[in-house]
Amino acid sequence: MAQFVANTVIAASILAIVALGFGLIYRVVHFFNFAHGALYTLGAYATLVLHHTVGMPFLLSAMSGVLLVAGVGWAMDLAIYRPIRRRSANTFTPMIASLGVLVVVTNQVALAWGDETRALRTGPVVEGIEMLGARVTGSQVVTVVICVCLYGLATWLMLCTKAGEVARAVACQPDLAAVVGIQSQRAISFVFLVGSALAAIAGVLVGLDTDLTPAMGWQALLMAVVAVVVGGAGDLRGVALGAILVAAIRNASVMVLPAQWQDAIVFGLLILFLLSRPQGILGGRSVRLKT
Amino acid sequence: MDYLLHLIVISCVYVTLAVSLDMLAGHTGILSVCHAAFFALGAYTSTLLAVRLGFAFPLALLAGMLSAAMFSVAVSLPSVRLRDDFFVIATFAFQLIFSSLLNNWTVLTRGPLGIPGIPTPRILGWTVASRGDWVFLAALMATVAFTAARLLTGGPFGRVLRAIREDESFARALGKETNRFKATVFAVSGAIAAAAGSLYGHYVGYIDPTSFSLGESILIVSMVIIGGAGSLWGPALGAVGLVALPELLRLIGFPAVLAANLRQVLYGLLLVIAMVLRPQGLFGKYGFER
Repeated sequence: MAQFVANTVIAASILAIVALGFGLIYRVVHFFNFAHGALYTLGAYATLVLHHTVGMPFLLSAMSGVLLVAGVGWAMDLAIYRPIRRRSANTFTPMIASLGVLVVVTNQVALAWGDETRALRTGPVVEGIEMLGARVTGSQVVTVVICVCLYGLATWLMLCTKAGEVARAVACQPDLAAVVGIQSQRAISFVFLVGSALAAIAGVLVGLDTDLTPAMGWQALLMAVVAVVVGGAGDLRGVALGAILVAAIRNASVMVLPAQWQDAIVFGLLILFLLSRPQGILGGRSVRLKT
Repeated sequence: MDYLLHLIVISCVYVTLAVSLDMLAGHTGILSVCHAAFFALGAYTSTLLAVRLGFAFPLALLAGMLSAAMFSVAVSLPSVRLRDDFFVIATFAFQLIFSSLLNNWTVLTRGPLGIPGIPTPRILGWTVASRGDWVFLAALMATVAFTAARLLTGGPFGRVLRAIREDESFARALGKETNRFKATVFAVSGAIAAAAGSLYGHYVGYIDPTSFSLGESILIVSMVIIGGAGSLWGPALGAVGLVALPELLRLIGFPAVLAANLRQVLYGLLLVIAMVLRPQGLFGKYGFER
């Protein structure tokens, strides 16, 4: 039982960070940004290159990798989504474009670094420590701490700073925001920077704990989509709730069924929610679901 | 020469798939990322019936089409409640659950081992054995699928579909039962995709889950969008183009190991470029922009 709780907390905290970035971007630009998974993969691989190939110290390479990827996310919005947005406001075309970005990045990473798994950590695998009756590794504890801090930081950014307030204004009432003189592009660039950085950090943390594969972004992205839809896309707390629920169900399903059914069960949960409560657990009636 | 004929058969399979998806994506405006699941259902149903129970090809084909039609009506159900982009997410989930079933329900599908030894089809005493026979059969299927799609989307039925695409509430206000139209077009589209799957399974003689993955669904979507959604000819040409692309890459000397990844990089890029510059694709009229 203690091990179940520990595993759930670890998985949920990483998932929450990925889903938070995805949800923030979704709230402001109103489309599913599949390229979020690409940024997650890029964060891990950028750190790998800076640390192993260039030889920078780990912390420095992780930080520069995250900054780099945040820049990539910002540039991606300007180069791809902004022209689409200026032509027409719809949710389809940017979503398809972002799907294209994810396909390109996943395969480009496979071409550049091969399909085999890579490890970010250097030293030997350390044995876990005993903590409240569960076995966890040091890096997992660090991961959970970092994720909780980041979640708080991002919530503070969105709720208590001027930039966050502007972003929320653009998210809720884009036309009204424009009327009072808010430049929506600035707010959009801001959430793309923050969201992409969150994706990259999650990628690095997962890379530390387990392995890197070119397809890692797909898995993270799909789980984040489920967490955001289940929790409720309109609410920051909903994202955390969704992440905890998805992680708990994944870990609980292993106890009953063989591990390969994990994904099918999570996607079954997604369909169940889409059919019965598409606005998510915490989503209010105000979430616009039908055109 | 033999290889060229093989490529023609494969092209016909993808033309059939792309045309059937175009009825949904291009004409009705419902993007579905689980077309490979319908393709798989056709392939697995008909080949399992043929291998385990000795069904004749035409009967196995029909059974595959029927099961896919029923499954696709089930897939269409969430579209009653969901806005378009949420529905795309639902089809992602359907595709991934289906892939998981193919991989893990080993009693039925043998999982990653796949189903070998699919018998050569025999239709009314005609054994489809040589490459030439296969080209004929595949071209016949693609032509029938194209004509069916053309007839269906050309008439009053197609007008209602395009009305749903442009403004569903308005179509409903005119007294059209839009949900029934959506279920019907899903059933037809799924059945045609299943026919392609059934033919593909019997042609290759061995199927496994990798031919029906999420990546395959995205490939079919790319064919429709790059070719031009809503024009039927565009997706057909898109299918031929994306099948020919890796072969062209090989001709100019790319190693085969890299070709698979490189092809995906290229069609991903084409997808991004199409969305930024020309969302209606090469020959299409509809750009998913309402």
